[in-house]
Amino acid sequence: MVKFVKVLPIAAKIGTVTIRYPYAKPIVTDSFRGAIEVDPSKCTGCGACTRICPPKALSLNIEGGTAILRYFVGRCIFCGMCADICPEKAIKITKEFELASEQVSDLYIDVEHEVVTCRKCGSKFVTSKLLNKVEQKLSEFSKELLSLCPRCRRVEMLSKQVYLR
Amino acid sequence: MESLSTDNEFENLYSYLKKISNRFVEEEDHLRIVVENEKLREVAEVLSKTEGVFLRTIAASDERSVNGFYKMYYVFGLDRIHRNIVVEVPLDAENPVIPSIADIVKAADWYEREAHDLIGIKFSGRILHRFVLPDDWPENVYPLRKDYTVQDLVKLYRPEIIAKAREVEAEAAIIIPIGPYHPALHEPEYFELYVRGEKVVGARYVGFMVHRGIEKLAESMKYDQVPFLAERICGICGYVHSTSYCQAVEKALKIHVPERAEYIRSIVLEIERIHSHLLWLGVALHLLGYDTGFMHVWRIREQVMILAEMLTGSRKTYGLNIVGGVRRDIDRDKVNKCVKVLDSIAKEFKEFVEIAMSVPQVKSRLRGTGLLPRNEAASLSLVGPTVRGSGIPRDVRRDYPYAAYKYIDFKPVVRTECDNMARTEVRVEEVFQSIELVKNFLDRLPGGGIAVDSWEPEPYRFGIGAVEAPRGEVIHVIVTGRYSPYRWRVRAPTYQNLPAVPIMLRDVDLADAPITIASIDPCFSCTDRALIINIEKSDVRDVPLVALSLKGSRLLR
Amino acid sequence: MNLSTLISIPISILLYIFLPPLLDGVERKVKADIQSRIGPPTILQTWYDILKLISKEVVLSMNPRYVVLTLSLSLTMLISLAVTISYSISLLNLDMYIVITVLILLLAIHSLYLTLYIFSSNPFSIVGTFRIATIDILNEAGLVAFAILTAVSISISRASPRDYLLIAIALTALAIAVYVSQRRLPYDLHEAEPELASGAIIEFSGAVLGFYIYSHLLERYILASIPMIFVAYLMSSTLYLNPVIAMLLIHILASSIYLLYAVISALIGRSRVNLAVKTINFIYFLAIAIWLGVYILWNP
Ligand code: SF4
Ligand code: SF4
Repeated sequence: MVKFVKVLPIAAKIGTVTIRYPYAKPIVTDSFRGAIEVDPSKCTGCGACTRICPPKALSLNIEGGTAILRYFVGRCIFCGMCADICPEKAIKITKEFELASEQVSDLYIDVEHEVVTCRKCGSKFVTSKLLNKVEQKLSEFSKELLSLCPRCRRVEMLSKQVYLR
Repeated sequence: MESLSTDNEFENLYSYLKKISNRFVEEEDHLRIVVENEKLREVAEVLSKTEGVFLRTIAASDERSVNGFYKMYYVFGLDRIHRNIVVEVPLDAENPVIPSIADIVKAADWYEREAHDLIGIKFSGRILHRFVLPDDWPENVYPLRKDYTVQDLVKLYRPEIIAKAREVEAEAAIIIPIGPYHPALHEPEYFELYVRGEKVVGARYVGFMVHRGIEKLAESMKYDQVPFLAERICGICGYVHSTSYCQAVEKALKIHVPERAEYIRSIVLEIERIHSHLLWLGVALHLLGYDTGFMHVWRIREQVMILAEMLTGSRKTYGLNIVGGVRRDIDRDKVNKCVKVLDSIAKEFKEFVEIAMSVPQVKSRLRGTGLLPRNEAASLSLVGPTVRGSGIPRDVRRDYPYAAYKYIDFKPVVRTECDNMARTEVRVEEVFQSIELVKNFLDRLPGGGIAVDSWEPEPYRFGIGAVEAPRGEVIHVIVTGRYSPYRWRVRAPTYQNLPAVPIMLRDVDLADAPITIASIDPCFSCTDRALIINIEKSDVRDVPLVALSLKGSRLLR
Repeated sequence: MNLSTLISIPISILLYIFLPPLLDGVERKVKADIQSRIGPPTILQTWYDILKLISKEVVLSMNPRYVVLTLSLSLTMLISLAVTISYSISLLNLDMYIVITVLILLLAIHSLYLTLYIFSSNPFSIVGTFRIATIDILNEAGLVAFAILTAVSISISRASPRDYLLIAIALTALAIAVYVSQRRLPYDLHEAEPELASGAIIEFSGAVLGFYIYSHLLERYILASIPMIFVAYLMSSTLYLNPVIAMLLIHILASSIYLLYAVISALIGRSRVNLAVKTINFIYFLAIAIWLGVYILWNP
């Protein structure tokens, strides 16, 4: 009838399970996915991660002479899709999750890239790193064409074909 | 399978349906018939009169740009033969009017109101007032119509309340000391309880305080981003939503998910159920004043959370699903750890649940309270432990087997007492059942890949994905688009179950109202604001409890 | 009145004043242990809470006259109760006069509390108030009956084991009535469902809440010490004790029973008003029946 007293021996056996967080270390397993870290030396600024990121925590914008890959951890849901998709494996998933800050600027992390200007129209269209990468991969492709923005390139190709004919 | 004999059971129905309309498509999991506006009521009548047919969901869709119509999709489930009948009704683009079937099929009530609010469908035979949208929403703006993008809507509507707060400089002017203790905060839902003394004689529910427009948002997201959005529909059982969504897309586009991925999905789904049921039991015990039970159940649950993190990378919102499979594999090492943890949970939980159920107050307040008669449960097409506690063995895992449930024999847990205790017992037993299921799945985990290599979206395909969530059936209906879903209809179990609450509240003591409301496991969004109307004096008092619910007694103990 | 009695009285009064929040701190720690938690950082936490609350600004939602008047009145009466009991246990005398004074003061304090609750402007706390009134009225009767029954049992000659059994029965019943009076689980119905109905204290904050909590804890401790007065008296008649030691012993016993109550209340759930009335009625009638049965049937 007084079976409910049996909770006492259980409690005695188990002891205390709560921890004095935040003074004690939080318990996270090895699999835990936290905030991401972009390795600026590996990242080429291709923007693949910004297109897959579900909450749009990553963005790539060209401001002045630089392309900025901006990571706003305030929106990040720690899904790791960006790390999965990144062709350069530049994104590392960390175990960091205690990210509160009094300064909103602390929540933004930027990776800056130099941008190439289109030889013809002067528009800024790609980071120089990505261009180099592509150049290495497609050596047979003429350098001339690669330094054009997609629109000028199309025009150039067409006009060449016309010229050849 | 048993298809031959059972197919016969519904033979008459099928031949009737095929007679009434010659436009039908037969798919593996459903028969879709196009029915004219005028014939809808007759069809609904026939379907609702047939034993064993339940309304699963209704989706309204704006397909004017595709085929010139608004469409209503009524999904009826024939649980026993594991198939659906989808009644598709095209509506005039200029004047979308359809006869209401809420008087024939009781469960259709909310769906019609929602379609009315969000797509602007008019229902003849029924006067509808605003239900989902807030009172200050602009007239004649139907957010799910394709005329509006998410950005348009954000521009169109700014909740008045924000402006009002600014006007009085709310932040600066009002200081409410809430003391060093925390007020009770759940999710915003609203019940009116009609009481006579300490007896509840009636109840009314007003919901949709937090309609977030997720369905609309998904229409602007890519296929592989939506699972992460879907997962955020529910903070407790999000994984069922991402699974349902993926299954709906996979069904629509006929993508075959690798078997290993199906197993992994089922494993994680069951782990989610274990954590959710333990969470529920803890809170239920808390509502019965047995806080020691609350603490210990949650202590046991913590191991499940850590287990989930180990398997998926996150305690909650696992982020595991993508269309065509899953993102993380389970290796041998994890399998072993998992089995070990599950065994210890099973042992500890068994020991503790016996103790908790022997507490006199827990026993006496669960038994015989919150009665939900079997026939009412059936007529409202209820789902999950709520319906299973009333003796009806509805369970998507058995009725519409998906993922790895296809490969096993599954028997739903049923109780026939129809009271709060029955629903509690169903959940308790399901914890053990889920533990066994996970172990079984881990044992049989087949080899192979965990996701399809690639797939191509194809627009305007129709798909249904359903999952047995901890609270009952979750069902997603999808009409595919080129890059994003064209229309995505989500129906969570609480949506189906809430109309049962007023029935269960009839004649309970006021003190048992919270546990009764909680007994459907309504994502615990039930109790923030309550309105007590004293019938004898017929005065209405309305108090926002959030501001007041300083848990007084907690201070003193 | 000798010196040790003179010392004993003020010490006892001070213990009454300072011990209750400390005991509550211990209770919270004990509960935390039972629930596998760490609990509050120190056993002084309740004192810190009360002091913090008292230092906060005063915000009153109901008519301040009623709140301040009733609260200060009940606090005064509680302290005079503490003084009376301190006298009684230090002098180790137990006449009916003191028992009756204590009971009257207690009843007065309870009705003051009820007045305080009823003045609440909040409909939800009215629900809680009616619940507590129901339980209180029933239990008050039990409290008085068992206190008198204990006094009567003690005044019987104490010649045979039967008389000790009678005392034990009456004391146990009194201990139960005290437990219910302390408004612990399962009978803390006035603050039961904070989502739906609640007691009056949801209306309090800051200093008022601080004083309310203090007076409530003081009342709890005084209640816990009532059965101990009888115990002390019994002891004094069998063996001689220095008044200071006797007084300290009583406080230790009262604290122990307080903590025993705490453990019990951690093990069970909350009742419902109609259920509670039934259970309490049953237990009290049973106790009286047993007492009478023993008295009549067992003839030494
Ligand atoms: S996908 Fe990788 S390489 Fe491309 S922008 Fe993102 S981090 Fe840089
Ligand atoms: S982890 Fe997910 S949410 Fe965060 S940046 Fe990467 S893709 Fe975006």
